[in-house]
Order: sequence, then structure tokens, then C-alpha cells
Amino acid sequence: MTSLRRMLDGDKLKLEGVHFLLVDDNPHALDIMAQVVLGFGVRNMTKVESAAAARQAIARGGIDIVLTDGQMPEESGYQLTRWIRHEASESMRYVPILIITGHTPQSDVTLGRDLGANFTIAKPLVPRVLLQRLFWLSQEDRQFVLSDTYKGPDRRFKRLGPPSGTDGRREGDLKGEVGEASEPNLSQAQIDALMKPAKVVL
Amino acid sequence: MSNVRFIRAPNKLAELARGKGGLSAGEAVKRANVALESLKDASIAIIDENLALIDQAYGPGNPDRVNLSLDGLYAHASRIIDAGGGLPGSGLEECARKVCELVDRSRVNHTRDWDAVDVHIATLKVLRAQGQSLTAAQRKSVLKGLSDVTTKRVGEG
Repeated sequence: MTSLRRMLDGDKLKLEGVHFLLVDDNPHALDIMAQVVLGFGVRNMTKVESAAAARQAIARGGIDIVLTDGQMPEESGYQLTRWIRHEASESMRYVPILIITGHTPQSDVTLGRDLGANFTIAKPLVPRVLLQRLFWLSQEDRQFVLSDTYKGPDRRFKRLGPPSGTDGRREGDLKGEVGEASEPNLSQAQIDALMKPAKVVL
Repeated sequence: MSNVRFIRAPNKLAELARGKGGLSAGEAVKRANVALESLKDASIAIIDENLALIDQAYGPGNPDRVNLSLDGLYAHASRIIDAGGGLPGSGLEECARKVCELVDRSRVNHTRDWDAVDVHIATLKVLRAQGQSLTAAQRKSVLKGLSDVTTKRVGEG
């Protein structure tokens, strides 16, 4: 696993053979997405302006990753995500999905997660952020959960913190690496004292 | 009781992306930023167009604004967020996000406060004109002020 700084220094990502499906009802936003992934070396992409068109593209198969706007007028990116996880063909059901959205209240992030999206990214789309998510996805080994109420990547991911070596975006993100001990180990007596039941006043 | 299964799904992206060759992350980001430059003028035009539409329909100069749904305000602000990369470091897209937040909370709390709308529109204009020349602390302070206005006038989210 690699931090963005280390990624920028040397790690490589080969995206030319990866087929991207880009979905956004706003043609300008779609162009921005396309320009960013073209810059990443992607040569194979399908651009569509609605979830309905995205479903047709997915039904044809061969898509390796979906980048979709969250809020679209007819059918949202969230509904599309649900359809992919529940109704797409077996070969397309596990495809990574990134939801890209302008106004991103926590409720939308939670909704995306609960419908099986891998990540939610805030607009405007910044190449550095998208590339970092692609690196994460390319190294991801989260299990896929299949249940009556949820189909998607294991949602307990956040508890693991960001991938080892990466800097999380939130102050409270756990670090994947443990540094050198800065204090001596606790003695057995100190450990026992921590475990000792104590009276409390309720 | 629900039946839960855990499986290792095939990660074709990983298979393809980790192959030999490809671009370094630094190079990929650089190329993507260069590619985005070609859309910068269009992005700024979209920002200006939507800012003008917001001012025209929802600004204090339109006495009929009271009859309008705030959905249009949300839609124009969303367009500004989409194109916000055209004016990096201006804080404009963050301000547009605050407009969306204001509309969202207005819907949830069944209230509408035109003073709060006016403050947001005025701030959009200021950031469009001068956002890139403000310090990060100044932009942060301006944006924090908008959050406070929304909470005070429209309520919590």
C-alpha cells in the first residue's frame, strides 16, 4: 500500500486497458471527468448522460469501473448503484463504483455506502483525489458482502482506517502503520492494576 | 434471519492497473491537470452564467422571487460546484456548496429566509471577483460566516 506522496514519487498505475463508464447528466461535468481520466492514460471509456444509458452500457458488459454523478434528474447515481449491485449480470455486479457528487451531506455519503458504492468523492473533481481513490481500489482486498439487505464491499472498512501508509482525510482516521514505541512497556503489575475492578459511585 | 455471505469478488481493475508499464502518479496528475486546462474557459463561463442566473432570479432585485421554488437555486449552485475547478483557490465552489446546504435546510425545516439567501449571493459575487486574492484564513472566515448565518436563520440540518 502506498501513500500519495510515495505514489507521486514512483508507483505506477496502468489504466490504458481499463474500461471506464462515466455517468453525469451535466455534459460539462462529463467532459471534466473524461479529461481527467484521459490524462491518467485511459483509452477506453464510455460516456453517458443518464442512469438508463449507463444500465444499457453495463448490460453490454466489459466495464471495469463506474464513475457516476450522485444527483441526476431522472434516476440518481444512487439508484444506479443499487441496480448494479442487485440486478446487473453476475460479471458486472462487483464492479467498483465511485459516486461523484457536488453537495455531499453525510446522509448522502451514508446512502452511497449502504447501496454498495466503494467511495464517494466531492466535486469539483480533482485529479489528485480521484487518482488516490483509483490506487486504493487497485489495491483493495475488502471482501464483498452478499445479504438480503446489503450487497457491496464490506462497510466495516472505515474501522480499518485508510490503506496502510496513506494519510486519511479525517483527523480521527486511524493510521495503518504503528511507529516505534515511545515509552517503555507496561509492567505486569501496571497491567493488572488497569484490569483491577474498582468501586464506582453511580 | 438474514443470510450473509462474504466472498472475494474478482478485482479486474487491480489486475489491469497493476500490470507492467503505465504512468507514475505524479505524471498522471500532471497530465490530467494539463488536460483540464482546455476546459478552464468553459468552466469560468459556466460559473458566470449560473451566477448571473442566480442573481437575476433569486437576488433582491427580483420582487417575484418569493413565488419561486428554491430548487432552481440549488441547481444553479450545483452547476457552479461542477465547474468550480475553473477558479481554483477562490472558495467559490465551497460557497456554492453552502448555498446547497441553505436550500437543503430550508426544505427540511420548511422555512425560507431571504436575508440568508442575499448574504449567500453577495458572497458568491465577492468570491468570484476576489476569492483568489484572499488568504486561506480570510476565505475560511467568510465561509464559516455563511454556515453561521444558515444555522441562525434557517436552523440546524
